[in-house]
Parts: sequence; C-alpha cells; structure tokens
Amino acid sequence: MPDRLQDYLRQVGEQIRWKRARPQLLAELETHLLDQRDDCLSQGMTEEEAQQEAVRQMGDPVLLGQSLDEVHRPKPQWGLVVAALVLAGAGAALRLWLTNGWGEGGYAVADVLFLLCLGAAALVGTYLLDYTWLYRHGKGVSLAALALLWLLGLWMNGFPPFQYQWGMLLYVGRVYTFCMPVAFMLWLLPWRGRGGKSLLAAFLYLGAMLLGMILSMQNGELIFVTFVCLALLLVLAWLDWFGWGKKRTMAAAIIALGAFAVALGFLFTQNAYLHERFLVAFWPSRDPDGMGFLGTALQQALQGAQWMGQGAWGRAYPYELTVAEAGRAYFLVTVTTKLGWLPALGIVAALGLLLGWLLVKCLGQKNQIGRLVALAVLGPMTLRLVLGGLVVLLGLPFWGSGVPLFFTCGGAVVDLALLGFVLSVFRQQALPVPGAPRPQTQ
Amino acid sequence: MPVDKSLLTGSTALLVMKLLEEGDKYGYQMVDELRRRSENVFELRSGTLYPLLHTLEQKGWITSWEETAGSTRPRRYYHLTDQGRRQLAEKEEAWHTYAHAMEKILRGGEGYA
Repeated sequence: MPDRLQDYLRQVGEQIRWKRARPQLLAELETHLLDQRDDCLSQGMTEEEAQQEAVRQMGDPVLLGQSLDEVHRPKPQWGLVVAALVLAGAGAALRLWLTNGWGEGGYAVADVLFLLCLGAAALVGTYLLDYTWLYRHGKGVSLAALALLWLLGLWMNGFPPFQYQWGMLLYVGRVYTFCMPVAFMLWLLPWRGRGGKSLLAAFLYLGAMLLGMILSMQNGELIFVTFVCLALLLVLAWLDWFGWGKKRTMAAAIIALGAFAVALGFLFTQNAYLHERFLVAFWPSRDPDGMGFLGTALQQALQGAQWMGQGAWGRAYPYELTVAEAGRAYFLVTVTTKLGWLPALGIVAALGLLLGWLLVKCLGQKNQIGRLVALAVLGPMTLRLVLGGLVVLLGLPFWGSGVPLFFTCGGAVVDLALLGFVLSVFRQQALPVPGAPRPQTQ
Repeated sequence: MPVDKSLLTGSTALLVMKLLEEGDKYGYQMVDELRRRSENVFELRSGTLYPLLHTLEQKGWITSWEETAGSTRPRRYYHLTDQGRRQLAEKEEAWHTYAHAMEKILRGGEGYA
C-alpha cells in the first residue's frame, strides 16, 4: 500500500523552490499529518482511512506548497537579469548601427534608448513583482488581457471611431498577441482539480481569443498562438491538472488540435486566395512581382551574403526600400546581408543558448506553477526563434514576426517583461530561523 | 446550522493570534482548539494555517521555537511577540467595531430610535 502521507509531502515539497527550506517545512507538516492520523485512528478508523482523512484535512498539496513557496523564496538571480538586458541592449545597438541612414525604415537613437530603458524597467519590474503575483491574479489578468485584445480589435474595425494610426495598431496587436499564450495559461491554472468544466472554460477562452485575434487582424499569429495554446493545454492534460482523468483530458486536447489543423487545411485548400498565398510563401518564384515579391527579394539578398562581411545586393533599388520590414521582422536577414552568415547565426545561437538554458532550468524545477508559467513564456519564444532562424536559413518569408528580443525595440520590451516573470521563478526570500530556542518570556 | 466559510476569510490571523495570546501552541493544536471552541463552526484548513503562520512570523508578530525533549515528534511552537500583541489589540478593536455595526444593521434599526 502506498504511503499517502509521504506522497502528499513529496508533492508539497516539489512546489517549494528553496531546497534549504524544504526539510524544515516538511517536518512540520509531517508532524501535523501524523497527529491528525493518530487522532483518526483513536476514533476507530483504519490506517488507510486515517491517512486519507489526514491528507483531506490538509488540503491540496500543490496549493499548500505554492503558498509556502510564496512565503519562502530562493536567492536573487541578478546575473540572469543582466544577461537578458545585455542581449537586448546588443540587439538595439546592432539595429541602430545597421539601419543608420535608412530614413523611414531606420531608428532614432533617442527612441531606441527610451525603449531599452522601458524594457529594462519592465524586466526588473516583473522580476520583482514575481510570477506568483501572476498566478494569484490569474483569472483577473487573463480576462483583462482578453478584454484588451478585443478592444484593440474593435478599435481597428472603427469602434470607437477615434483617429489612429492603423499600421501602428497592427504592430501593437502583433506584439501583444505573443502575450496571449501566457494569458491562456494563467486562465487555466486556477481551474486545478475542477473537472470537465475546466475544459469547457479552456475552449471558451480559446474561442474568445481567436475572435479577438481575427478582429485585430493577426491572422498569421493566430495560427501560431492557437497551436501553442493547444500544446499548453496538452501539457496540462498530461499532468491531469484539472483532475478529470489524464486520458480523457488528453483525448479532448488532441481532438481540439486535430480539429484546428483540419479547419486550417480546409481553408488553405478550399479558399483560392489563401491557397495561392500558402504556395507563394514557400515558392515565391510563382509570383515574383506580386505576392512572391518579398520572398524573391529575401532570397536574392541571402544569395549574395558572405560568411563574414558585407554581401552583394544585385538590384538597383536600395535594399531597405525593397525588403519590407528589413529593420524589424526581417532584421536577421539584414544582419546576414550586412555582416555575414556567421554573425547572424551567432545571434541565433546566443538567443538559443539563453532560452534553452532557461527552459532546461525551469523545466527542471519541481515547482509546478512556476514551471508552467515559464513554459508558457519560453516555449513560444523558443519556437519564434526557430521560425525566425528558418526564415534566414531557407530564405522564405513564411514567418513575419522576427525572433524574440530582436523583433524591434517595442517587441523586445514585451519579451523582456515576460522574461522577468520567468527569472523570478528562481527568486527567493528569507527563511524563518530553523531550530530557534524557546523565547525567554515563556 | 451550516456557516458560510467565507465569513472566516480575513479573520483567520485574528483567531490564530488570539489563540496564541493564551500561550504557545503548535499547528495541530491550534486547528483542534479552534474547532472545539467554535463547536465545529470554524474548520481551519491546515493548508491555510501554515502559510499564514509563516507570514506572521516574517512580519515579526509571532516567533517559533522547536520542542524535541519529552515528545516522540519534534514540534514547532508559535509564540506571540510584543509587536504581535499590539497588532492583536488593534485587530480586536477593529473587529468589535465591525461586529457592533453589523449587529445594529441585522437587528433592523433597534437602538436607532
């Protein structure tokens, strides 16, 4: 017979990040559980019943562990904060240098510095705020995020009819959309142990999010974000987070994933315009002067690139005026053509190392809620890096949202804010003095 | 009569500190005593109690010490500090004001005539 009490304590311990705090906290809980069990035994219960009742009285082990973890936190990790800021700073400096003299497609030093300071403040702010704040206010934050997405969408569709810069709103929407997987995760976490209705809540939120993204015209990002959200749902199903049964929840998540894939397949094969756009995204030469213009320009730029140094640009019209978003979404292509393949791949490698290292470190954490929030931030970021890297390697513009931290300065601010929450998973505070003597007044 | 558990929310710290005013206690003892004294109305979840105790300890309102001698299990006792006693007095006063106002309203205006 498995020892319920030990299993319970193990689960509580897994949520507590500070290893030094764990034995002390668990010892206290163990004494409590044993006292409760003895009490139950004295009332005539069997050992199994007594253990079950002791565990029931104590409450959900994950929530208890999480609460204790909030009180006792790990050491500050300022090294990681500085590393993320240095990478973002290097990206900003590189962007200023390479787009110097571009005019409209370039950047002003003051703007870049302002956004970098804003990003640093966002990173440190969210780091100090701590991811547990996000978790505690999960439902409120996720609903506010959804409301903002809808407001943005409604505004872009003329309500309210105020003056606005449509291109700017589209860009803000694109940056903002990448926060939605985190909002989705925050929506789901409080549904722990609440059964089948949790899945209904998940699909309702996802549906509302899809509509919001359609309204704000983030069609490409919609595909990415929906797949990512369904993958996150699958992870929660694997953990049986909702207590509805692992197999049943996983089946529902897989069916939803499959249905979304089938719907997309139907759209891309049945709608003539979308079908052609899909083909041109991978074979730009089908329509070099129309939908494939950007693709052919990117391929030409990359064909002229060298391993190190300035590449050849074979057209009379300037590069920055030919390749749309050369300083933003396709900045990595710009790095490749201006500085060479090695620096561009070096950037991908540096970002990959940072994200990969954080991902491994976060996934290694036993603290479930910290691990899941980190996964919701780092998973999509890593995927964006892979897609952005593939754009350069394949010379195909199928991904128009760049790489994390390097996707324009405004995008980097959002990425840095999200990274701050991830870095806070490793943060800690003081532990009460262990083994303290009895106070003198006693 | 079933009692809405949300009525307890916000008052847990007051109840715990009041229990400790009478003498040092360990966690299980507090849960048990609270249940017994309230005639099973207040069922304090242990999962709520310990994070609360540790938070109060970080605020300096209570301290803890370990008793190992004479017991089969090492127990962590909690002790109300002087600062905690002052906080308790303030909380008690606030509670009485609140309870008095509630009482007046629930009696439907008695005493206002």
